[in-house]
Order: sequence, then C-alpha cells, then structure tokens
Amino acid sequence: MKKIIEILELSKRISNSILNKDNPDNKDIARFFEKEDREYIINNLVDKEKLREQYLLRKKIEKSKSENWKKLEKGKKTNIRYLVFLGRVAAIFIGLFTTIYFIQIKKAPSNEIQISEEVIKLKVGKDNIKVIRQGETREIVAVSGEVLGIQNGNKIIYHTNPEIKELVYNELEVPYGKIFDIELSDGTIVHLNSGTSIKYPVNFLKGKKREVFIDGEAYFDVAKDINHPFIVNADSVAVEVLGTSFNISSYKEDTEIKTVLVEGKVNMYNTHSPNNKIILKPGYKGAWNKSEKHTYVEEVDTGLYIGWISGELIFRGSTFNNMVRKLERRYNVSISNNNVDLQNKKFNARFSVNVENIQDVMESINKISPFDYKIIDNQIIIY
Amino acid sequence: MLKKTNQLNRKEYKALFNAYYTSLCLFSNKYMNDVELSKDVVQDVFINIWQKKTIPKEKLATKAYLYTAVKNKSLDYLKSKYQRVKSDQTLDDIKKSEKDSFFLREVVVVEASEIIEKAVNTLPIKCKRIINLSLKGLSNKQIAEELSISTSTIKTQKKIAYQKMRPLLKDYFLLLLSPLFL
Repeated sequence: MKKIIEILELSKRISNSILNKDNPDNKDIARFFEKEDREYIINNLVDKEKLREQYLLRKKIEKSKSENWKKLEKGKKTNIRYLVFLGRVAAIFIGLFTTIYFIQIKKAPSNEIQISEEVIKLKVGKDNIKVIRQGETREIVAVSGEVLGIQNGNKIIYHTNPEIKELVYNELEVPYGKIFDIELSDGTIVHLNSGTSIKYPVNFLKGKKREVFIDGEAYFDVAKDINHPFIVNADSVAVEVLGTSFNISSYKEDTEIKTVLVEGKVNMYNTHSPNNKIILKPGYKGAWNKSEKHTYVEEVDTGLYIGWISGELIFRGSTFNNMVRKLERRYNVSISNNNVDLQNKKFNARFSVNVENIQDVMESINKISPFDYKIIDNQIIIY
Repeated sequence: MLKKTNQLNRKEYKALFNAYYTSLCLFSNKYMNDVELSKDVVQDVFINIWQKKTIPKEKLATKAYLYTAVKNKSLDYLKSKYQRVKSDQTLDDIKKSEKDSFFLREVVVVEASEIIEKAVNTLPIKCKRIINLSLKGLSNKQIAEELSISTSTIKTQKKIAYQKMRPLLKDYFLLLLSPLFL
C-alpha cells in the first residue's frame, strides 16, 4: 500500500513536469522502475498514437458512465433492503443478484448492433467443415485423423510434416466483422481481413513452388526460402515472392486488385499477359484494373494499407462509396445510401475498430458532412 | 488512534464513482483487453464497496485501494477464464500481468495521462480555438479574420496558453480538439 501511494505521487510529478517543463523527469521515474518499464511509461505519455488510443478509450467509457451509474444505483437499493432484513442470507442473494445483473449487461449492449451469427469456417476435407471460434485452443485434425496443427486464440498454426507426400489443401473462410491469422507450415504468417477466404496446402512439398489462393484481403509475411518461390493467386493476378511482406486486396466487388509491398521484392503478373511481369519496390502499390485490364504502379503510404491488421480503418481522400464497402465488411453491417451527393464526396478519417462501434463511426462522418440516417439492427439507411 | 476509514453515505458513494470510474475502467482494460469486461470488473468493485461501506479516509489511500481492488478483480477474472480455456499464451500473459511492476507502471500511465488531459481541457474554449488554428499554420492575422477578433487578443491568449502548455503538449492538443479526423 505504501508503494502504490508513492507511485501515485510520482504520477503527479510526471504529469507536472510534462505540463511545465515539456519533459517527463527520467531520473525520478528511474527511482521506481527498471529500464523497460520506464520506456513503456514515457512512450505511453508522449507517443501520439498511444495518446490517441487512450483518449478515445476514455471517451468511449465516459459515454456509458451515467448509464452504468443508474444500473449500479438500481441494483444497490435492492441490496440495501435485503442487507438490513436478512443479514447473512442477503450476501448470497446479492451474489446471485450481481450475477444475473451482469448477464443482463452482456446480453443487451444497449443499442449496439447484434453480433452476427456468421462464423469462421475451416474446410479440411470435401465434406468436413469445422467451425472455428475465436479465442479457443484446439488441435486441427485432418479427415484421416492426423494432427495438422493447432488453433491458438486467433491464429491457426500448421506443423511441418515430412510424412505428407502429396498436396492436401485446407480452406479458411473469415466472415464479415472478423479478422483471423494463420501460420502456414513453412512459417509464413497470413493475416486475413474480414470477408476473406484462402486456400493453401497443409504442407508445402519439397522442390515445388509454394502456392496459395485468395479471395478478399490479406497481409503476407512470407518466410524466406529461395528454393521455393511463394505465389499468391488472387483472381486474375498472381504475386510471386521469395521472402517478403506485402498486402494484397482482391475483393470481388472492387474494381481493382491491389498489391502493396512493405518489404523485399515481388513480381506481379496477370493471367491475361503472364509474361509481362511488373516488379514492385517497397512502398509501392501495383493495382490491376479489372475492366481496363491494366496495372498502375504508384508510390503509397503503406501504413494506410496495413492498418487493418491492428484494427484500424484509415481513409485518405476516399470516396464515401469506397468507405461504405470497407465499413460493411469490417463491422458486418449493410449500408444503403440514397443520398446521391454523398456518394462521391471524399473523406479523411481514421477509426479504431476496437474502440469505435458503427454508431460512433456514423456519428463522426455525420459531423463532417451532415445527412439523415437510421440504424436498424445491422442495417444502416441513409436518406 | 486515528480513524483511518470512512463510513460511506450515498452522496460520497456517487462522488467516488464519478471521480474514479473512467480511469479505473481504463486501468482494468490494461489487464482485460476488453472494454466491456473492464466495465463489468469496475462495476463489481463498486458493488463490493457499497456492501462494505467503508473506504480509506485519505484521498491517495482511497485511490490506492481502488486500483488494488480493480487489479485483483481483473486477475481473478483472467484466471477463471484461463481455467476454462487453458492456453499457454494466456498463462504467460497472466503471469506477466501479475507482476507488481506491471501493476505500478499501468497506474502511472493512467494517472499521469488523466492529469494532463484535464489540464489541457480546462483551458478556455477561445484559447483552445486559437491554438488549434495556429497549430494548423495560420498566422495571427488569418486567425483574427477567421474568428473575427483583434490580433492583440490573439497574442494575449496565445501567451496564456503557451505559459501553461509546452510544445510537447501539441499532441495532446490536437487530440482533444479533433479526435477523429486528423
């Protein structure tokens, strides 16, 4: 207890030195914390992103504060009465009451959108589809009974298995509103965005190219193996790499298939002219326009394309129409827009899926460009 | 002997809730990584307080008591969840967050950032608006036109603000003035 009081006093001194001297007092912090924790504290108090995250969380909590107070007060009154008259029995009763009360809170997150019934599906054989629940730990077993890998929380990890001599594919389907990761048998990590499905061998074979197929959006961190090129097939585009990190987005409803290179080197080509390879450099985007059948290359801010991995939705000069598609996927909602003026309006915005729900998002857009809208379950109608 | 605890009445209870609820939720979230669950944890702690009706008398001791209670409740929850899910990673995470140094450093982050945010937020609105425009690169003259006030007012307001706020606070400023659209 004494220690934490000292820590509270330290917090006061740190904030005062930031407010008055523009610098947290490193020496003072060092009296209480080791290097790693010291850096963590300072970073959390001066880093722009960290500040923003924290601030938004605070606001989100503030929003439901009075509502939570009311609930607390309501519950409390009943408790007092029982406390007075029933003494010991009351304690049990209160316990029970609290439990019921908590279940109720969880069941009805005020007017938030209901979580969709859609689930992550893993197809391990022709008729063998497993439902993957986020956060669980379980083994992934082939139809033959062999253990292929393990699901650990929000990720499936495939083991290498030299016994497997032929290509066996698994297919993973991530619905709208969810994201999920897999680690392939070669150590390649794939982050899958909402509304994405991917087909991949449970084991890559020696001497063969490593090849996967994707529909939707994914970020690949490919394990280096110069003897086995890694190929991502997305609709009519193929991206070939040796070991590198890149993002590829190929949703059926989008007009372009976009590849953004973060690190390393990739070759892009398409089925219409497979010999016409385009080499992308880090920080560049190659976009294949489906109707024009042409690839455009341009320099981009890669952060805008990979923010989704950490739950960020970033828009820079995006038209409302483009924004709508991304919001629908990420929040698993359907947005019908009847406001013609709005369609091609351009927005800069940044949302954090873990902090802001779809109501918050709609409110924010509305503040910038007012329009009438209604949210009914997971339907949003704009007039 | 000095009386170290306080009998809580309704009014004090509400004041306690108002003063600490948000920070405690934020703090619990460092353990839980889930805002809704964090709210539940804090709510639970407040229910316990009302049942006991006693609370340390001194302000810092109250805070210390609350942070400790929220930490314990959060860890209880994580452990009971671990019992059900049994994943190595969760156990590692729990062990890490059980350490005293984790607890103390998160208290510092939540406490210090709250004080700073409050300080920036208490600046008068006019003052905030001027600083915001100036951070956007507008000259005093341009700001004067934008807000239809005299340039001398702007100079004094800026002086007030900068006396309180150093350059590092620029980020806090931008944050509080335009949280969503950067």
